[in-house]
Amino acid sequence: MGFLVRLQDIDRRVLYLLLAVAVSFPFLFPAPVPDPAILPQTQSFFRTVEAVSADPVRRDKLVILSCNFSSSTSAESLTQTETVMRHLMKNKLKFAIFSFNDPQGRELGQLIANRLQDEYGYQYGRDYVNWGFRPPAAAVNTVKAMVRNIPEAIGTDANGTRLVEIPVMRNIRGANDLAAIIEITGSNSLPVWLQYLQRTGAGAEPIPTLYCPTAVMAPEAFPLLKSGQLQGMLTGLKGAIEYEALLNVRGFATRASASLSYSHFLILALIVLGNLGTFAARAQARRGGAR
Amino acid sequence: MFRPVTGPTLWLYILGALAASGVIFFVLQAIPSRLRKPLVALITFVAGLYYATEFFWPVGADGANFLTPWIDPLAQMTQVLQAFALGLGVYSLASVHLRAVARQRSGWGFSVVLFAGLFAIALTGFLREYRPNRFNENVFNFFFVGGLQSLDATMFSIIAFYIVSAAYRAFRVRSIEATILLTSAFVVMLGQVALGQALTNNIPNQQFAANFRVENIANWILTRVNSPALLAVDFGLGIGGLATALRLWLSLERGSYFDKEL
Repeated sequence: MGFLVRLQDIDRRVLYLLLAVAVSFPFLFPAPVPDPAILPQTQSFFRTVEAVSADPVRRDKLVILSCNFSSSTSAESLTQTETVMRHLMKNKLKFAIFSFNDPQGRELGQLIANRLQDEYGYQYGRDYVNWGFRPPAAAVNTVKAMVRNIPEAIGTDANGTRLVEIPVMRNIRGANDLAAIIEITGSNSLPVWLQYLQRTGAGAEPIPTLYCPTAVMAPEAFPLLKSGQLQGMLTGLKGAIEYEALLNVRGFATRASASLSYSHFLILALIVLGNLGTFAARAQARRGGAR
Repeated sequence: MFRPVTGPTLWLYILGALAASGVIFFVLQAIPSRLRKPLVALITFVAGLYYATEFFWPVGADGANFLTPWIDPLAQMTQVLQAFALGLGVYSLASVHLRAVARQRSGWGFSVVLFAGLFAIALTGFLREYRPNRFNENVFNFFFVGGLQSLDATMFSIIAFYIVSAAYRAFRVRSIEATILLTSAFVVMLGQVALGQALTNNIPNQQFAANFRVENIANWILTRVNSPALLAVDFGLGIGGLATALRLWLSLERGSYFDKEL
């Protein structure tokens, strides 16, 4: 009984050590993990990108890949960026990296593009562009101005070249020339797109908007999926794992699946052990009182 | 509305802008302090009024009204104003930490590290931007990818350790509410990972039986139980945000920053 009672108060250093082992062990000694179940929001994300690629009019338009995150959430956001960019490049879609929430976003988006561009024969300027970073407080005004004139609202790319001189921006004027908006974020930056750009195109349909938040932020977006304001969502690292399965690619997300599973199971096991300890302590107290 | 200029005209424009800014600065300094607040309130009101009017004013066949052409230059102007805030932030940070170093206050070594980091990333960033070559690219990547990116990710990852400790201590069967919270958290966590989903992989993912798969139960909790509660919170936040925006626009806000003498 004494051992069980002690389970309710395990030293926190032991917990930290167990987590470190649970997270790092699968990377050092890869262990097989079952394929993940693909959730409806991930499937609809994938189908939206596929639909844009299959449409002869929309596939010539531009996808905004909004990288509004910093290195702090790179385990989730950078992995999402890689898997989504891979899909865009695989389907030969034109895209623009953009960031208005964190200056690191433009660098991190470019980092992934540099890593993947040779694999898919992509070339900066011809197939994609980096619009760079704009200050957060100017985001609303910039996005409002983008509705009618993107080259004027953004001005220059991350290298200082005027957008009108970049081949991929040829024929790209305003909201009507956007194929989709993909927001990858670790903060509350999605509303800017939904409020000021999504429904400003000439067509009756809104610009397809896809969302890649961190896992803790995902629950806030479920109402937006239900209302049709979002056409798909990748939930943190788990969403990236599902997306890699859909793309039939085994990248970092798939390798991290075991790590994610083990750390979650560790938390669940600790919760069970803690409660066992609490029950044992209560039983011991009752017996002590009865005597 | 405005066309970009180059060469001597650009320098003329820059000098003109600097001169105009200087004049505005001295005029604002010369204004009696009792008039400064109404002036700031007036500028705030006019700035807000522009966007409200542009949004609500009927548009023509081209989807624009007489105010629409001003949106682009105003957006660029806002970006410039925000860039000033960055300079102000650096100035404020530097003044605090320079004082700490000069007076050798406790922990002044950290201030030195801050300056080293600030200058290293800024200098290498400028060099990469304006003198692009392989060496400058590698030096920048050394600081950005090897330093900042890794440190930032490490700092944030530490949260995982606190979450484990907090979950272990908080999720206890103490009351009915705590038990409901514990059970739903347990199911959602199981439904989030491949290994948890594998527990119910043998149940068909079609028709009625699909309701018993752990990922579907977790998704049901998130979409049918959690979402309505979040919508209610969001609605309250929206109303509060509207009220705050109106108070800011009409300069009715009170409290720190707003009641101070300008």
